[in-house]
Amino acid sequence: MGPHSWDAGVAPTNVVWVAQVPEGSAHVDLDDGSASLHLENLCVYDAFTVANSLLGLNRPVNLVKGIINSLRMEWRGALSMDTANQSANKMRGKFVENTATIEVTATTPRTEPTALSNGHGFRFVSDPASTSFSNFAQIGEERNGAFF
Amino acid sequence: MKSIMSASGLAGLSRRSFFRHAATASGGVLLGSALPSKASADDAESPCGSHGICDFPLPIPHINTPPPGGAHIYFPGPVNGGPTPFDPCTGAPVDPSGVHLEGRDPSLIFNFKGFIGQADLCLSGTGTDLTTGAHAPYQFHTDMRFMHGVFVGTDLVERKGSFVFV
Repeated sequence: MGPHSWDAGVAPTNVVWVAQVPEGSAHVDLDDGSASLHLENLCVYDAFTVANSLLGLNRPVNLVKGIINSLRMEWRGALSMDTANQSANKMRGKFVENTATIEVTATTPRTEPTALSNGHGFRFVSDPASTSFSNFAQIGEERNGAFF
Repeated sequence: MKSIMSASGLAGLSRRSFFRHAATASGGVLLGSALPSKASADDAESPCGSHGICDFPLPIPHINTPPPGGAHIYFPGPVNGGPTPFDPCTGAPVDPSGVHLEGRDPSLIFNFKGFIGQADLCLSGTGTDLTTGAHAPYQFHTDMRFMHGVFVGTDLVERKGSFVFV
């Protein structure tokens, strides 16, 4: 079954691993320190490894289709608050550090075999959200660039 | 979302460990970003009709170190740029590139105004071979984010949008 690395690819503008999703996918209550992200059937790539994803023209193995079948994330439990006004990054905003959980199902359909995959197809079903471990999480409201 | 361990012992590089081990040096060129004037065409169709080319967001200026091809991203961490906790599933700090005196911008996209969510997580579950039906426990590491608000894209038009970093 091997390694798997799902991501949204690199945009022509060099935005890394970002996909547009329907409005309403994310909800934020900054005062409460909580937020949620719910997605279904998001088309992504399986690059198998991060290195293979980011090597661009030098990529040894082609990307294949992947699907985030369902994703549910929750942020809650405010730990601290902070504000930012960063001239170097042209960013300012207010942020709440908290903890997050994730529950996800993702699939790589059958493909031609590659050096990184037998092509059998693969599905990952995560354990319940309560078993995920949050290393760092935050939500916030910010403005950068032209809105700084 | 990157697998870091399976029962078969095959391990993919996590996003963090890849950056940590990537030895590619960069010229460190940060091109100055000319701030676009904000046009007001919230729901305008892109005149070139090629979604993702003419109306896609631009990246934040920051390029991570080391940049494998130039990744415009800060690792997760406090916006004040301070140190990050140890990540047990990768065996490294959440931000292995260290502290950032200039601060961190959790957004991936520039000329953006709105809400963000960011989470660096370890998760476990079951992987299934869709041909043989074989199962194995898998562990994944992920840095997931969302950005919901308005942005100015390559065409200098301001639009509403919701994005996820996967």
